[in-house]
Amino acid sequence: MESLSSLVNTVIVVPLLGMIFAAIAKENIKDNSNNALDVGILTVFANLFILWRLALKIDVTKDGWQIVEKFNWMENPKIEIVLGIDIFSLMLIAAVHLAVLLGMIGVRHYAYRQKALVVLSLMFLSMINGYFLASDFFSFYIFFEALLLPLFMMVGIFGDVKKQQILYRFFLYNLLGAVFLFIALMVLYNYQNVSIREVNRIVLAGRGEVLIWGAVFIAFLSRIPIWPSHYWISSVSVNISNPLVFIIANIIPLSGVYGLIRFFPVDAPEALDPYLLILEIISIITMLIIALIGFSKKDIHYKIFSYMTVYYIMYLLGALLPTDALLINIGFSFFSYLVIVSALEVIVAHIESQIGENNSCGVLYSIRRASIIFSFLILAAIGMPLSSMFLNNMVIFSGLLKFNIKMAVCILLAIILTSVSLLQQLFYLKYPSAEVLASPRECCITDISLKMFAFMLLIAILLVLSFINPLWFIG
Amino acid sequence: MLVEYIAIFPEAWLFFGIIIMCAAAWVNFSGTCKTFYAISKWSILPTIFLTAVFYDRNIAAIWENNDYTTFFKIIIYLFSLSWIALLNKRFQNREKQSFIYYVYVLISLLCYSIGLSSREFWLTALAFSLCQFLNVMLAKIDADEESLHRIRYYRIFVLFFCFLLWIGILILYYQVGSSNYSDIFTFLTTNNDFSFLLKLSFVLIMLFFLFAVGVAPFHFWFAGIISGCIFPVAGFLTIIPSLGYFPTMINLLVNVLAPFYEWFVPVMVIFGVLSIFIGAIGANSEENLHRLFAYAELYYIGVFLTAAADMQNQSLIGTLIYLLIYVFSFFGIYTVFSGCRNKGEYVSQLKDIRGLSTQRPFLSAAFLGLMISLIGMPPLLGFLGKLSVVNSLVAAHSYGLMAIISFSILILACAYLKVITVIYFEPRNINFDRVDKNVYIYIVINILLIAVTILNPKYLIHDVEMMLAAIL
Repeated sequence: MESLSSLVNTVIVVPLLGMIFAAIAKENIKDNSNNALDVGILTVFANLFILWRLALKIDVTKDGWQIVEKFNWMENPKIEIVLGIDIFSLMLIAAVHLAVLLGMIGVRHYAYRQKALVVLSLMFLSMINGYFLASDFFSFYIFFEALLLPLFMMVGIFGDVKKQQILYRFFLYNLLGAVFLFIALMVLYNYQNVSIREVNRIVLAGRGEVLIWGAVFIAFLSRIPIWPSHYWISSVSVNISNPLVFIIANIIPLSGVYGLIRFFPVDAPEALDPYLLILEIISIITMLIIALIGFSKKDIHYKIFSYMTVYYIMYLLGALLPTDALLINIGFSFFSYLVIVSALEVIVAHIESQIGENNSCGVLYSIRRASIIFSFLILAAIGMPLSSMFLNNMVIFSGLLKFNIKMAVCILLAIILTSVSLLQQLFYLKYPSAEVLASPRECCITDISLKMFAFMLLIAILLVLSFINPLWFIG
Repeated sequence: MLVEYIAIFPEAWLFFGIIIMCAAAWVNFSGTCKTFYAISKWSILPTIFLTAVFYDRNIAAIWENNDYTTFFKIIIYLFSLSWIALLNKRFQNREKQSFIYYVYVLISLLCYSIGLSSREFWLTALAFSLCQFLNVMLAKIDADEESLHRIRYYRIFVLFFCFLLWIGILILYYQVGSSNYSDIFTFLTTNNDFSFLLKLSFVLIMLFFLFAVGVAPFHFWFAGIISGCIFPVAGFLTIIPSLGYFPTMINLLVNVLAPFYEWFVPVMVIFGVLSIFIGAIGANSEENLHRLFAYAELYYIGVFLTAAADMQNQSLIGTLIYLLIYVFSFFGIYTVFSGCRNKGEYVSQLKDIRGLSTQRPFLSAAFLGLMISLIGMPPLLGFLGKLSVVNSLVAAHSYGLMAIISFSILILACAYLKVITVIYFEPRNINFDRVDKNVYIYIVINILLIAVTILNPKYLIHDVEMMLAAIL
């Protein structure tokens, strides 16, 4: 394993190198060349190859970090940066790479400041890789906060956010969460410096326990669209028309859920129990409200956002249950979930670019390739037996039903609402109304290219494989 | 022994440079701005070299060169040299202005150097009083009527606080019988019962330093003066004085007035916290970039003061690391400013840099990186400063102060976000002039140093520890 340890930091370094190459790539607006984008895509592929090499060496039967690399960063205070990988983080990194890859393919025809978009995406990719690989307090915090800068810049430049206040709030809410985490980790570090996996060994006395673990909780919750921090994500997400930026913005809640899973692997400290109950109630209310809004709104972006939020909250509540069995399923479920949502967003962006301000009713009727992919993705998204989400969600649900039946029923209700909402959208886009059929569209609508279709088919096959054998990628 | 006087050779060289410059001005005043710049450069460069060579030479009990003084002197010289090199074109065809600027800068450097190494209170007071008056004179260069009005007020305050300093020193001299640091320290350690007069002298001396550093509530002069200055002076006054006064204040509190100091800690903390809040809130209300960053500086000075308040080893290490990083970042920011010109004039208003990223992406990226670094966001250098300071506060169980410093950055972040938004997300309304290649060179060096330091901060921390060991 030691010979492979350098590959762990390579997963962080490769996107950074790609970022530099993309930044110096020649940009010719006249012939619409996509040099920077090509560099970006190549970088993602390179990293996927490295991940594949790492995946081959990982033993799923073993618990804990399997390939670990340490750097002595500082002597005073003594800080050692520890990077490690396990199957859970590997799955998430792979999913994020595929999501970003889909996003990059989706923005091929977006000429507006493409170089900046690619540079920032690669920076984000590097930081989120670091976050998933972080095995000690400091690297965890460093990457947790470092994610913010590329995201803020992308949302600011490409997010079509009309009110600056929303942007400020977006950044400040997240920064506030990071400050909470920083304070908590500094205190924990000075109290007992352990790795993240051993964090529940730390026993704090009295109020300190509530304050510190509470701060950690708030930090991660600031990234998840739960009241009161749901506002920034919804305000930002619904305005984004660029698929890559939308995908990246919606990966951020994953960082919150992942943090909670890492810090509270089996159960949260007892002192937090009363607060957890409040959190669960707030989560379920948020979930139901967002599902209802998603159901009532016609905007497909909001429907996707509502679907993502409901699932993120479900994963969060699943992660808080006192059983390890759910965690691994959440990890595998995330893989399919991110890939499905990203592919869905790319197709939606294509449809929107084709219809512009016109009525989108029945638009899929005339574009068959996009229609096939879109239908598949919607069915997979709602949990049909087309991807690993089917099996993993079933396990998560059975866990939820076992431990808290009332909560499980509420979650099920929210999921049904979002599923119906997505199906409603599928029907709306697929079957033109009599009115639309009577007056055919003035402009011709182009289907997705054959290359894109082939790529999407590959993604679909990948998802089906993940259903047939959810652990196929491990070998 | 006469040979001991070699310790002041660097300062003598600087003084010689000032004489040469005055002589050059006396002989021929027309077309000499380049000559003044060259003399300044060749005065500072050998001074840096000589300071490094004679880093441990002392003159009996009145002059001490050690790692600590040498480190700060070299940093002051380097930043000053870089600054005057960067902006020498500003004084083209402005002979009188250039002479005044360069000669005052050299005298200021001489005074800061004397203040740092001196072991006699009267000499320190003389040097720093002169520095204060030189600040006034520098601020007057090419100032408009409104600024001159503000400078007049500032001059009155300078007079007042210098007066306080001298009164404080006289009282101390009257009580102790000497103005030498060692004698004062010996006297204070052997006499535990401090009279009212002794305490008064301490307060008066501290008041001067707090005013000179620009801590709230003595900050009123700083933002006003900075916003009215010409750009080279604004940059100089933002970066250099904090490198002169702050280390000297620490040296005095640790090595001379330490027995006195304990009861003053809460006062320092209050001033520090006040500065943090006034700085962070003030920066948000500003549209003038110089004023905005002057308030930001107030915030950082507040952080330094709060973090170093207990004057313990760990706190001082954290504070000095943050101080160096802050100075470095501010130098970078002012370097970027020097590249932002419209029709030959340096831009100073927030609205003037709208859409800078569309025409000058490299400058904008540097600006963005430096500002994000100043917020303390990882993986940039500012994080290292924040980490050092917060860690020292947690180690000292000062959780309240840690929380104040950590959360108040959010307020300051709003001001920086405003700048970032203007640069990146708003359309451009003016054309920026071609950027001097020196600006790019400086920025690249700055970025490289930042990258090296963040990847391997051990060198910086080790240097600060070594430097502090000389005074602790």
